[in-house]
Amino acid sequence: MTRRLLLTVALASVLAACDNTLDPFESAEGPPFAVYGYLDTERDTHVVRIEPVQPVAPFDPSRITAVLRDETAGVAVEMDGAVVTLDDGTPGLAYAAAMRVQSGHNYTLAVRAEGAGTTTARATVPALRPAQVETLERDSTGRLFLPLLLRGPSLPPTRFSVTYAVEVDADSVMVEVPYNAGQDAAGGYRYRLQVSRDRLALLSRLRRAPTDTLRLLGLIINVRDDGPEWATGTSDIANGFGFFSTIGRTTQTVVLPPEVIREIGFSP
Amino acid sequence: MLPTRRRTGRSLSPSKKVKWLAACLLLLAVGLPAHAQRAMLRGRVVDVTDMQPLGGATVQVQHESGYDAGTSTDEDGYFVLTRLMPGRYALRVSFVGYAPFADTVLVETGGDQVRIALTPTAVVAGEVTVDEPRTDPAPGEGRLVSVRPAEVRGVPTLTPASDLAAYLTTLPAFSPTSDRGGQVSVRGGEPTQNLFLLDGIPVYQPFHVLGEFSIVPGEALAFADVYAGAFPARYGGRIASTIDVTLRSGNKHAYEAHAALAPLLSAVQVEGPLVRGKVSALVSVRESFARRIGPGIAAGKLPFDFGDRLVRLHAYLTQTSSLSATAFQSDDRATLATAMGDAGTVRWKSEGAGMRFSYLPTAYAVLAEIEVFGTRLDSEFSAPGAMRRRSLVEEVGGNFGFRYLLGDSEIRFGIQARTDHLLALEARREREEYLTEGAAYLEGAWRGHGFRVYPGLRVSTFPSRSQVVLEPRLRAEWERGGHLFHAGAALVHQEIGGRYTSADLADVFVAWVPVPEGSPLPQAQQHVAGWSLSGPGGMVGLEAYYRDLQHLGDAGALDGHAQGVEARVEIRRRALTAGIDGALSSVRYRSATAAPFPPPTDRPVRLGTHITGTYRALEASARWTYADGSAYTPLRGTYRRVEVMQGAGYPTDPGTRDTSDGRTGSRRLPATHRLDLVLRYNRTLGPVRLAVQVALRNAYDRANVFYFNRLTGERYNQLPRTLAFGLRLDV
Repeated sequence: MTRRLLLTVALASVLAACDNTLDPFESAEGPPFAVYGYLDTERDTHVVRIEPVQPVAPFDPSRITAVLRDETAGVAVEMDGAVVTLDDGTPGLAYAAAMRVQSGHNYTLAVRAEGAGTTTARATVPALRPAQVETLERDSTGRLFLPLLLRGPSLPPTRFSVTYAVEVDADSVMVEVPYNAGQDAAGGYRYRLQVSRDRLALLSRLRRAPTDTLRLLGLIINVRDDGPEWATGTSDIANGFGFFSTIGRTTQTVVLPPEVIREIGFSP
Repeated sequence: MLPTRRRTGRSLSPSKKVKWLAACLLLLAVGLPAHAQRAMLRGRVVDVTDMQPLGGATVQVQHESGYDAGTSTDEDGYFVLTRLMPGRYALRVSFVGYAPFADTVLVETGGDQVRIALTPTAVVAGEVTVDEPRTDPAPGEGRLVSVRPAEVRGVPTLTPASDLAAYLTTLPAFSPTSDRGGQVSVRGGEPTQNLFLLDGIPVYQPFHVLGEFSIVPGEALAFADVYAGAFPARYGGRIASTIDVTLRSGNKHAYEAHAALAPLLSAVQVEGPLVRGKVSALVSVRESFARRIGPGIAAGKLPFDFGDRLVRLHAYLTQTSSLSATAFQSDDRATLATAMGDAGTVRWKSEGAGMRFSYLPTAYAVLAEIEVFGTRLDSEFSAPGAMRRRSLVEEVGGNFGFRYLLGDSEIRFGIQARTDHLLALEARREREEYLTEGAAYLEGAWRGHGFRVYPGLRVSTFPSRSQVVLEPRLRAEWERGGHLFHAGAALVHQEIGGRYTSADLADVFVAWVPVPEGSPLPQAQQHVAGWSLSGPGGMVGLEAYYRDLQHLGDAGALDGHAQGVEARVEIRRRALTAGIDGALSSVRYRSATAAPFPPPTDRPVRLGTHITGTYRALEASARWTYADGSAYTPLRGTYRRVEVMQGAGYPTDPGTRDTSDGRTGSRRLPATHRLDLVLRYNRTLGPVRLAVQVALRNAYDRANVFYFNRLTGERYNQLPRTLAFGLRLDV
């Protein structure tokens, strides 16, 4: 019995010593895909790049299924895959889907291949921040400021601007004025619109005299909020790698009282 | 134990500790003349044929009254016997391979000097006839082995010339990472944790790209002391092993020449007197022609070049002083070649020079030794499409040591200093640093009743890191009837280490870098214990070790241990020499965030066996070696990492290849094993000894891994089955 055991151990040792295979991969069931892309509320069609992870996933769009799902609305779209040529001439895989994404909605991108598991990426489009106009302010030099609170998180948006819609020679003209930093505030993030300065700049751009009075058709607040993944560089991707995020863009028209419009130098 | 830890207000600052130790050493030195008042016998033991100093010879004297004393010679053949009564003594000197010397000497008050020349006994076909039980220089001292030229010549290689590396790799403690790459791991340590000294000069890359060759030709070797644990206190700066090589001084009576012609490595060595009996020179030049001749002798290209050059001058200035100077240079180049073309090149150039002055003062029982050295290593790895990597080490330093002889006991102490310039270029980042280290050491030796005890203490200071470390050392031996039991412990630190790339699983290139500022020094607590039994017919030995490791890795975040047991059996018969070596070991690293894992140097089972037989003028050798594959971290996957930019559609940049690692160290490379066969014909024609050799390397054509890139999947194997012819002439 002992002799047989020793013989078996010796034989197994010899066989192990003869084995000369070298496979650097841990298993054939690892994460199958890396996904790269983002959803933008400004676009109707969204394209993501999918990189198969060696040695698990195939490089064949016919064997890969990618589904983009709006979890909030309960809508799903299967993306169309294609082999594209990358900058260095090598092939890549790009998947496209027609879908209108919305602020505040949760999205899931699920990429699967037969026999290779599923990679799931999740991202949320930042929600709309309602704009709330506060009382007009005047400083010691007589310049006017219109405080505006973006309700929601006390964080600056990625981009913030104000569009003045005015009537010029019976036409509607839109002039956008970007703003940099605002201030953290209770219940949101506050900007102090420099309405006197903006009016003079607007008249100058329209080649009008500083004393002219234009009719203000509307004040439009433009806010762009990027998904938090852009700042951290990491995404919520399960069983895979890559980067998946969102860009949320919102526009809101603020209705100002006629007396406020007049006070800042426009006509209602 | 952390020697740098502050405890109370009464503890000494680092600088005070050094001053305190220096004061003790000074007091010790000043106190020496007290012993000079008695009678003393000093001298040197040399080989009568070429005036080579014989380190480790046993010197015994017996007074008419029956009082006796004894000692052994140091590396330069010097000895001193102190505290003798004036009178007539029977003097007996013995050394392995030499006829014993016996004479009567008259020792008078104040001291006397003698020069003893021993005559070699018969040497038959490389086998030394042992007349006396083997005596190593200053027996024990914790060395794993003291390697002699005859032992090195007994290991078959692909060329008729012998090499120290071929012998070292037969030791169970030594594990070459590959037959190419020049990296050797000792007891699970990293290759850069080995200290290699050539006549006192540190050599940062002592092994050639073809792993069984080093920069030390067997013909130029006087002896090499190998320590794989519990180092004496005079060695520091490395935590795995120390290999201290002393070259031959050169024949001071007659000219000798050795020449070997073989495609893998051809060699010429000439030595002889410059001033007969006093000054000698040794010059060795070796060069590989493998790249040019390779396709004719191997199945494919042999894509490497290497060579080395050695010069040593040695002079007996007076009866009690000597001066030696050594210079070396080596260069290596290997191409990672496939049938489709060359995929990358690794190359390095190592060079250095040093000088050693030994002096035995007339009035004192102390041997003084001064050494200065400079050494340099410039290595580079380049591959198409990859960033060039380069590492440069430049070091100058010196040692000033004393050996105070007290009959059966001795005290050794000294100071050492070195300064380094390190440059590492990796991933387009260049890192340049200047470092200095100062050290003082104190060693003792006490012998009696079969016991030998070697305590020691080393203090190292690293001003650039504002650190001072204390390193206690201890080794004890007990010898009885051919049995030798030994045990030892040591604490060692290392300031400069190596960094490897995780992509290359065989570690072809290493960058030398210092410990980052603010990180603790890597350290090892070494513990060894063993037994051996030796005699004329062979030896058997067993040694167990445990090494506790701390502060390893780039940021010092890894701890770990290495443990194992090694066995060695050697059988020597008149026409047959055979040996079996085996090692079982386990190396594990751990960190605060990771479970214990095996590093690449963990190779749990290693086996080696060699046999050499002679029949008349024919000599046949076979050598088989086996080692478990190195541990490595498998990939969960590789993919192209792409940066997503806003505004564009999908990213069209191809990106860079990235990886996701699996469980650290959970896989092993395939086991490495091969069989080498050598057949040699020896003939003597007057003053010329001729040897013709045919060697078959990797006889069963095992595809052992040399280089494997886990990202690209590129694999390059070690040498295939290779047939090589060689010719050797000794005059």
